[in-house]
Amino acid sequence: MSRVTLKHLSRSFGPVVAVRDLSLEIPDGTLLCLLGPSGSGKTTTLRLIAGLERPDGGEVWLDDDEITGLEPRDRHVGVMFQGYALYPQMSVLDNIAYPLKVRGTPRGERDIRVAEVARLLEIDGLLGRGVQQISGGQQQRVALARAIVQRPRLFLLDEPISNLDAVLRSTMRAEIRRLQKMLGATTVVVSHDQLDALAMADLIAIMKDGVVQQLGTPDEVYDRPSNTFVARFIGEPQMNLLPATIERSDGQLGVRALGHRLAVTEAVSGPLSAATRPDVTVGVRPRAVRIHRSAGEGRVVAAVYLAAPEGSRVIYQFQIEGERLTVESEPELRLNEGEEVHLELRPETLHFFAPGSDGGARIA
Amino acid sequence: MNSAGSVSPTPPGPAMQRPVTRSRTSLWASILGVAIGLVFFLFPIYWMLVTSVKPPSEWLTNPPVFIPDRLYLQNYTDALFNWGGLKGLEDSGIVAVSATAIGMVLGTLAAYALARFRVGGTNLSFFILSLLFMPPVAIGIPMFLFWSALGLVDTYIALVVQYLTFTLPFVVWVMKGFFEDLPVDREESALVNGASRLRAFWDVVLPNARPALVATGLLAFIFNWNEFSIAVLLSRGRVTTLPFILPTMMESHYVLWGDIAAMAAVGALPVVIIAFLLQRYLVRGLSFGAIRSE
Repeated sequence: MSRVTLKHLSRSFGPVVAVRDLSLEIPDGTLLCLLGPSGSGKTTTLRLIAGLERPDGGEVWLDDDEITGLEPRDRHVGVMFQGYALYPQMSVLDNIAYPLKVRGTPRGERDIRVAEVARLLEIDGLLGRGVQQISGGQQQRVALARAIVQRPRLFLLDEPISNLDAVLRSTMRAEIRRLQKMLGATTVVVSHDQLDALAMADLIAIMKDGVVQQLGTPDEVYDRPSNTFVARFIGEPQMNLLPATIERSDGQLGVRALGHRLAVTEAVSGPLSAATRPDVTVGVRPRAVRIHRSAGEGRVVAAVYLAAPEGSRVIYQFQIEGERLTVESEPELRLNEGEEVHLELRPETLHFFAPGSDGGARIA
Repeated sequence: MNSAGSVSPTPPGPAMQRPVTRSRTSLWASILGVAIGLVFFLFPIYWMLVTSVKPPSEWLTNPPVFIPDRLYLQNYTDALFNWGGLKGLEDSGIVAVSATAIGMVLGTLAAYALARFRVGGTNLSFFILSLLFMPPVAIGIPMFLFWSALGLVDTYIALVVQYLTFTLPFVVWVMKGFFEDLPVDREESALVNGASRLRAFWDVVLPNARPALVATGLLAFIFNWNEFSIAVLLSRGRVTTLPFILPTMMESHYVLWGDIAAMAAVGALPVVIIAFLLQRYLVRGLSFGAIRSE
């Protein structure tokens, strides 16, 4: 279908900057997820692409056409709104047929195409119903069908999953993913839920305060978060971020954190030794920490502060030297609160960021 | 969540019984209250209707005649044909329908624009509202001079335009509030689906606005139908609306109460009929505060 290019887009609402100098390229056929907390500018970005909002500056390109000044109707994008925005006075059939009707598609062809997408989304039994007589999940399919039926150059889905209950969510994530691949449609999904992004997206753009913090595949943003904001936003439970200092003894580079000296890999010692300041933030995912019952080289002694069994896993909280450390473990390991264990923070699982409370950039 | 769901709710028994046990006295009390209210509000209307079918001998008797023995319909023929009631109906109809129709079309579009595009900033919409605060007498003389300079005193156009100066702000103000409460995403969805602004307005906004339009239109119509002070100032006997005719009937040395009552009944009838036909919209339309977006 289409390649989307955003060039230096910005948009403010009064004193509030919603999108700040945003540049992004979405390759043909990919599903990009704009992920971020509320107020991060992701929905505004979507609306800028749809033409429902005009940028204060910057350009929107669809393939080789600049569409910044085009009316929404001339952009041929299919939008699914967060509240679905179905037309309550129309039947399911008329809702889905609406884009075709407005654009003057002849009746016969209209009926064929509506039947086609209805079958695709398994709502062909509902066509005669009113949109207020069907369930929330069905309404969502109707909204999706209405976006698809006009064969748009681009799909824009605003929080497509968030109105559904937990059971429907994972089904719908898979469904959207399947449809998107089947239609080969370039798609932008807005979500505040990292699970949506990790499960559906080819590319994730993590936004904060109107700025893209990182653009990458789900693996990239999970494995190599570009700053501490991304590190905390992706992954559940959140990545542990610990204040640390770089130290050198016997010519070996290491970091001191949690009152212990932690070894670092060969690969990161270069960037770390180039750092201008000795203090650094060390990140480690709760899953990456290993719990041992016996002491060992470089292991951190800690007592269990809190244990939260969650069925398929147990989340332990440790308190070490005034810092809180979260560790995720297999359910087989049953530790009691107060029990003393030895934690191994393996060098290859550590992330290093510039120090600072929020948004420190990745060093290594 | 499950455990919360399984907690048994308050037993329905006492809650259901409470209104039943206190029903006897409180039910009769409320029926009595409603009955007194109805008599209070409906008696003048009843008296108008009864007087309109009484012969002259029964108009002012003491004790009054509450239920006449027979229908004396001459009052109606007098009102319609001798006093110009038929012409009054026609003129009232032309003026009120035109002013309401034009006011609704222009007012609704203006209200939509004000609600969605911040036309004229915050001051324009308040200026429009402020027009409603103006008492008609305040503009009586300049208004008359204006229309007489144009040579249009005593014409339909003068009355219609003059009524619009009140109808339009009223429609704009009420419909603007309604549109502001209407969710925007349906319109935006229509826009990206290929519709122009006007098409989106027509396809998506108007169908949802029907109850509000009917209620607003009816209120505007009643205002225009009843309007008296401007009609008196701008009529010279060629354009004679019903409210203009009624006081002229009291000028004779002997007040023809039966004819007046018949004329009043004729004047009230169209509004009653319209309200009756549109009642299913009125209930929804007059409570637009309760509109929800789902």
